[in-house]
Amino acid sequence: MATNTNLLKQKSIGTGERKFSWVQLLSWGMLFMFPISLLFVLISPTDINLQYSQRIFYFHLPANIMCFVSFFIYFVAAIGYWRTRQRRWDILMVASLELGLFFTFIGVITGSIWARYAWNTFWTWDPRLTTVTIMLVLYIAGLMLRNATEDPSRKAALTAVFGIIGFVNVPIVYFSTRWFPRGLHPVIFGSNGNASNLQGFMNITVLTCTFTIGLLFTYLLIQRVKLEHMRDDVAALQYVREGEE
Amino acid sequence: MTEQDGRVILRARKITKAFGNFTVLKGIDLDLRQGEFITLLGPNGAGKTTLLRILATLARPTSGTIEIAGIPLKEAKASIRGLLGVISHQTYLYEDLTARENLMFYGKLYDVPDLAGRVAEMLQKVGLERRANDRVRTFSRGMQQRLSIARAILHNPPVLLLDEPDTGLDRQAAEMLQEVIKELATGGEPRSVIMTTHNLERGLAMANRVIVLGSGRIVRESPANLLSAENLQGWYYEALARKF
Amino acid sequence: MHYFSKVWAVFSKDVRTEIRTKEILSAMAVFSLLMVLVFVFALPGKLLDAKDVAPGLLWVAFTFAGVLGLNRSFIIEKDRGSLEGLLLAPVDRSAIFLGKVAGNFAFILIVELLTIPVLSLAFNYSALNIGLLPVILLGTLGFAEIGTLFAAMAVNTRAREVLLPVLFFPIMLPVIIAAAQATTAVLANRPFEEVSGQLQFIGIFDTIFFILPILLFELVIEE
Repeated sequence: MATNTNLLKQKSIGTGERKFSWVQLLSWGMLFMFPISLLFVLISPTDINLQYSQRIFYFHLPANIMCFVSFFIYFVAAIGYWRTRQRRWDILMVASLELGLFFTFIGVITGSIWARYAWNTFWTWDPRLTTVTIMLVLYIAGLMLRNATEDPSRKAALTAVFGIIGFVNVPIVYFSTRWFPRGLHPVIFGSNGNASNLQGFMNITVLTCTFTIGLLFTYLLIQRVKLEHMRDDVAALQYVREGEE
Repeated sequence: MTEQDGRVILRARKITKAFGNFTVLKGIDLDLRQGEFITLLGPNGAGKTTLLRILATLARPTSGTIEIAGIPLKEAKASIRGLLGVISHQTYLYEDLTARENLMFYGKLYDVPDLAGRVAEMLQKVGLERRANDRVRTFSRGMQQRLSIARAILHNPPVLLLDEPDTGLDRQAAEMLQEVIKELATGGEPRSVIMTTHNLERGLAMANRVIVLGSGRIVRESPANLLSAENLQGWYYEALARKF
Repeated sequence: MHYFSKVWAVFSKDVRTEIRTKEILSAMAVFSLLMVLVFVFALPGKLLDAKDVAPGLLWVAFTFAGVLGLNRSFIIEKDRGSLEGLLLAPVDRSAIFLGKVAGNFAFILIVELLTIPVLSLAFNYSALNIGLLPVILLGTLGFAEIGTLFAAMAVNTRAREVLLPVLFFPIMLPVIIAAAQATTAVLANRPFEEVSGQLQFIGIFDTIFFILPILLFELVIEE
């Protein structure tokens, strides 16, 4: 098969050729940025009310941003698949769905640790928490749907439908939570004089951490997409071999 | 039959279908002319059913184009499916509706004119007029299959796609089915048929043209009158041996 | 109009089959009655003072019974092969979807109207209030739309009976939240202004998930 010979040509590893690669740039970027972010987290001023525990916020907010970014990518990829039926959109869908779940999970855990110290409770049904929780459950269901489907093209189609419906549903969920008792979640960048409003160096630290986690997210996304391509290649090679036997 | 100069009613070009990396169809070109009867043969897994499902618009090809009556399927509206009649080993019938209700329901979906009259006519044609008001659940497999034929030709489609219509039928029912199909193909207005089957003799007896599929490709193709059952058997084993 | 005649054909076919077999309705009705019994035994302390829990329980019963019926509506078609028969018809596939939505809407609604008096009896708390009708109609429409779409998705997977509720509940939660709130308000005889927000919200939900599935249904059933 033509694709397979191409594949073998492409994978001429060890020929000493060095090409510019985004993945390497990202790896170096992370190597550089992670220590800096950690340092910033350590030297940024301590919150008056929350003391040291406030520092987990520097991971909480970026993780939550990434989970929204990820589900947005899933949504876009789902529309891409819907319009074109191409496998590459399908790959982007899986990658962003899984990564989105990963970062949502981190966001929920860090948020709950924060809540333990800020509000003396691990859990509260405030609008944002509720929304994120429902979102987590929703996208876990999406992953289950994908894994329960056998036929690959049907798998992609159902993942796409779910990606679109699920994403549209997120703001609806958020809106519906206003009928819940008022929550405790601070409005971070608001101007209501809340205790956890960020000031000066804290802002810089948040931005730095967001950038670093963003690098991590991009790196993971690229690697996940590559992994899926590799699986395709392996499956194709296996298929060829089975045919030859 | 002058199929050589007949109008092409269904044209498939470079049809491929891949499930992930598993390629079921690897580029099928097929022309079905008006009044032609093509028998598709091939071992299990050769892609016969998949090809037929793609032609029936139930499955989407990974690549390739299909034209029905000169209209590319991608640009066609849903109404193009009205040109097709499909019979498979699944009957597509509602067991809890009567024979007549089944036909009335599908007739409405297909916009059949003078529906009640047409339904009565069809029931008579497949010999079920006396059981018209019985639930399909009470029918034998052979009767159900006859009703499913009536369902498929209710809207008088110029193209018939038959996917192993004789599966699960006893000999008598299968012979009856063969008669009905033969009459459909030749009697009245010319109808074009593609049929898949495992029964080489029956397939050969009914066809104008025989196509043998093996591992997703057309392995052999010949007008039926130049073939004997023996050399068809040979082709069949050839297709079976073929891995690619 | 032509389009809606197809929707009607699918709907009336479903109704006719159901009248004969009572397969979906009986399963849903028995299930929701059992749920009410379970509530009674699980919450004996609330029997005298049901006004806090009754609206919530009502929607729990609706949701679970609804899922049961939604599941059947496509499994029946799939297992008997008739789903492909529908897909072969020269009909815009969204018409098939809408026909199924209409059928499911009717079936769930019937079961809901049965459940309300039973729950009222069991908890000795009247939930029979005509003001509840708009809440139930709108909420059930949302159930039917999302549920039919997801049932069509789940039917092509392994573990389809399990998968439908898993997919269905998280998406339906906003409607359940709003509907339960509105039900509480109606049953407490609050003025209409207090529920209009929730009703509008469910209405918007219904509209969005009326349009989206119609666009996406082709993708759901394609192979």
